[in-house]
Amino acid sequence: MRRRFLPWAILVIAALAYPLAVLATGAPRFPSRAECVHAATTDGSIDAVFGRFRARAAAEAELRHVLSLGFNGSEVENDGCGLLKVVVHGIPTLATGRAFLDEAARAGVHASLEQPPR
Amino acid sequence: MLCLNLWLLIVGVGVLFLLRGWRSWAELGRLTGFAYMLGTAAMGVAWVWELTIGIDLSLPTIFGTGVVLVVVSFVMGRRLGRRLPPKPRLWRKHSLSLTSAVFGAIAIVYFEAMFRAGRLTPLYEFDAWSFWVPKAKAIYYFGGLDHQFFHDLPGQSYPPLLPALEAAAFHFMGSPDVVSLHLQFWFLLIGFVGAAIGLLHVRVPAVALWPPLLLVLVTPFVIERALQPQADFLLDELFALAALLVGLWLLERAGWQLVAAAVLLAGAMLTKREGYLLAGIIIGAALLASLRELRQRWPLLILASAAAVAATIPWRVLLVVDDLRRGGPEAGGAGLLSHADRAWPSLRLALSTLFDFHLWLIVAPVAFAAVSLAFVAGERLFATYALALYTLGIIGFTWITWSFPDLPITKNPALNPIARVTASMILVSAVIVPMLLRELVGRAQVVTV
Repeated sequence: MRRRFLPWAILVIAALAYPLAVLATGAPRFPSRAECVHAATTDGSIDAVFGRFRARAAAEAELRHVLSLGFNGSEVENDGCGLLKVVVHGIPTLATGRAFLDEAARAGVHASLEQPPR
Repeated sequence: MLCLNLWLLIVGVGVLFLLRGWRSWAELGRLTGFAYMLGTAAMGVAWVWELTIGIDLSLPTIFGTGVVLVVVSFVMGRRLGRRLPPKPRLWRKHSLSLTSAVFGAIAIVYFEAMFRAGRLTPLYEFDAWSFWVPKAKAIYYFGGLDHQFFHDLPGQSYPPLLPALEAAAFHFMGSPDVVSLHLQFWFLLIGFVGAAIGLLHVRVPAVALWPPLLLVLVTPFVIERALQPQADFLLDELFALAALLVGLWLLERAGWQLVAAAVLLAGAMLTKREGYLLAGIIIGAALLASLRELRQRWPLLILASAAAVAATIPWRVLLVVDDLRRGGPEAGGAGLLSHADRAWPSLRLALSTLFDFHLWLIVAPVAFAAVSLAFVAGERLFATYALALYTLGIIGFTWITWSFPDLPITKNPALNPIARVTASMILVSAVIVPMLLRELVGRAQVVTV
């Protein structure tokens, strides 16, 4: 009886051993969408982001809104994490960026400074 | 995607019923991998025909084609006298040797690791993102073969069996997910290994069957490229199984083996244009090995190869009608003479690639040693066939580099396809070497045709 079951037991153990060994260190962790956002902390090429959207229509509506307020150079682009962002590229320093945020707040829109993805 | 592959298996079981039937449900279980590969080839050929005459590849087409194949196979199979065996007894004892279990356990862990690697592999491979997957996306989005798109893409002479299979996978996934697509090739690799084991298990002792097969699976080239969503590995898998079936037919004379080989070769020729060369290598090797039985064997071999080639005619007609490149050699026939200086370097490249340790470890030396041992052990017919197979393969691969003067003499896969085509000989070794070794280690206890 033992001889008959031993080969099958070897197969079952092998089939379970690999996934169990892999999962022993925990399930694979996937980055969340929030981890796509890296706040700007140093001078350099900084992005000002007016918002992230699931639907292209909503992103384009926001784009039209900020363009109408005079924030030229704004565009819609994929953020690489499944969302669309309305963004202005190429802000050279944090000081310029903060001035940009103040101007946006005075115009009634919210923006944030981010490091562009590398 | 699992559903698509189950569907291919069901269709393959239907085709298997037509070709040979099965005497017990355990026998069908043993031949599951083989049925899956038969189903993939048969459905692939049917999809190419449908696309060629303008039928869109959609979910209804995929199911409808399968239903037609299963029903026709079943009805014709019944007329040929095939019958289903009695209902299986549950809890029946199925013996498994300790040797098979140990090697099987290694294979299971191998496939689990390959799955883990394949499920998150991005689409990096040049040919895959350059034209194989774009063609599949075009079929998925537009239904058929968009003339302009297929005309403008590279590789326009390559037939659309693989893009159709990938498009079918997209349909079953619900989107053109080019990352998960790699797992379709994981299923194909399992199907190939399952088919090899199923066909050889009753003919070759486990100790001769598993080591050559596992050796091929762990070669760097196979690990790196087996799951790439391009046609090379499917071509090699169909070729290797067809080569095994023709070899078995030489030994056992069962007609279904030759018919099944023809189905797989038709699939191979509609997977990649190199399929014609590989089919020629198999048929040429079988003709050479059966010289002593020329009258009985040659007409059947020629008939089977003609049937396989005939299956590719609709695609060849479309190439002409749509004014697509036909993919013949640049140098042509007589042009080889004007490039005679490439002959020796091309031969040297073919040989050095076949014996390249960094690509295939020691598969080729083991294969040639097995051929020699088979001659010594008295397995002359199969050894002659295998030797002819390798020899014609080397000649064929020499011809590829020689007849395309633009190809540099290099193993670099970005510049010369020599490594990719040589993979066919390596995969063939996985199924041929066990047969060559069986006289040496003693045949399996039960030999079933």
